[in-house]
Amino acid sequence: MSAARARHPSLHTVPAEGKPPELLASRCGECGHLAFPAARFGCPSCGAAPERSAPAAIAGRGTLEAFTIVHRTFSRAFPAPYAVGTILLDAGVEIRAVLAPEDRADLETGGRVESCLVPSGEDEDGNALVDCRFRPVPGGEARDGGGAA
Amino acid sequence: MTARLVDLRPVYVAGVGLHRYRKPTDTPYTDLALAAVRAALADAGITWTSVETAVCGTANLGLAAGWTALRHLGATGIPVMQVENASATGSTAFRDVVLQVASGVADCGLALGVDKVLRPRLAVLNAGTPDLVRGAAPPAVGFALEAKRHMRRHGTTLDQLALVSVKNHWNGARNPNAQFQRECTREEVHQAPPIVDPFTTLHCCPLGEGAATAIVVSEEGLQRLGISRRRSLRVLCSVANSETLTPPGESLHVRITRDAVSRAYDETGLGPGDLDVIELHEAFTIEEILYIEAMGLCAEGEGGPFTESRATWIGGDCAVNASGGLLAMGHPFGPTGIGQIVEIARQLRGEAGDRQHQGARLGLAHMVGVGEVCVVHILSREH
Repeated sequence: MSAARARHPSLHTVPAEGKPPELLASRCGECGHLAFPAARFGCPSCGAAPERSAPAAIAGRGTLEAFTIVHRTFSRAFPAPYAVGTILLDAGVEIRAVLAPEDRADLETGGRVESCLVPSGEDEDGNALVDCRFRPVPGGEARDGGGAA
Repeated sequence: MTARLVDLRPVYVAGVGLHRYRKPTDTPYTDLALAAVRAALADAGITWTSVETAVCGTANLGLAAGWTALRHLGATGIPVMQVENASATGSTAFRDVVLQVASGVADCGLALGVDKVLRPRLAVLNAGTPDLVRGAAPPAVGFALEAKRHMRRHGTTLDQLALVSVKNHWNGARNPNAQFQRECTREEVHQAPPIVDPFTTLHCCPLGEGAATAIVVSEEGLQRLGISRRRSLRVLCSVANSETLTPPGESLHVRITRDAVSRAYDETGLGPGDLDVIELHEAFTIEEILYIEAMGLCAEGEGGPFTESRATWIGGDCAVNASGGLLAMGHPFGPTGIGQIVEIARQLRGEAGDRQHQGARLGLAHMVGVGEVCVVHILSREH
């Protein structure tokens, strides 16, 4: 069986078993703006054409600024209950991501989180797909005290 | 230099009308639209043949909804156009008519907002821009995260959030056009079915249908059509914007609201202390707290205690969402922003019945929409 592929290949890498995926951002060659998701159509900061942006893989590591538990199913792909968080990545970009903790009690506002891959069904040819989630850093990595106030 | 609305010729809201907001029915939208239009024409004391331009705001109905309904009033041959701007659809239709009349291309224009509950087709799904939470984080989730952040930063409590719903349901119980006309208690808000932590259903606006109309007339139009000046409300400004890049930790909706309202204050020379009534976009309870702060009614972080002080209740410093707001009056998309104009007109004329905020002279209407966009108007009683 071949390695799993990403359901959204433009968003993240699929590294070897167990390693956290990197997020596929872009850096604008005109203004330096770091965009995630990557600026496929143009820079949202200065409007530079997409060919002026360079790919920039960033670590899926950051601080959980806020999280919430969703009790109602809005999409079949995400049956309730599930958790969503606002994450300030160490690279300085704020994102929202679906959380996949081992145990929901581990979720802590201000806690450290990292990207991980979860199974996400199959493509048309029956190949396994994976999708990107975030989870508390195993073993409780020391907090860096950073993040937005 | 570009012109402000006050630099153009004066424009007035001369007539308003509603079809009650309510849960979905099988009634054709034509009935809803024509009820609101006929009510507004009667309110202004004019006939359809006096209307020189019309804009229909609808988010869900589809292509050519405006003329398909308006033709039943008589095919007068006037320009009719349709706009969609997410939750700010009605506000945008109103703004367009205001700008047409202010520019001088028409003396009498009509803004109609109408919608049924149909699944909106979101352009972003075909935009080629996937993200990590597509499908998992609709607006209820995004605002729940903003609520959690506000609670953590400023100590805002669940009781304070619930009080926004209690207040707006109290107001809605006094509005015969509201979808929900029943008061609720804090305990009922807390114990309603959970949607997304910390929101229960009573923290979230309902789905519904309805229609709203505002007739906008120039000074010359008022004279020519014999419309009462006393019941007409001057539109002092019309401001619209869209998102700018927002730094981490800042709320995009707060940012566009602060920017739009600041500009409205600058254009009119008014400030938050001058406003008697505000109709603002609270699809979720936290939004009212965020936006009264962004509008300067109270300091950042003080929206919860300010709501508890009853300053935003009818009879307080400034009645916020006296109509019942999106939470109780409802949020049928196309009509919502025009329904706000209807409520402000009734408040400024002193025709709001059991929910009248005494002595109201100045009112502000505010909607934000997916995109993100924000639209703000300020109306004034002249006499």
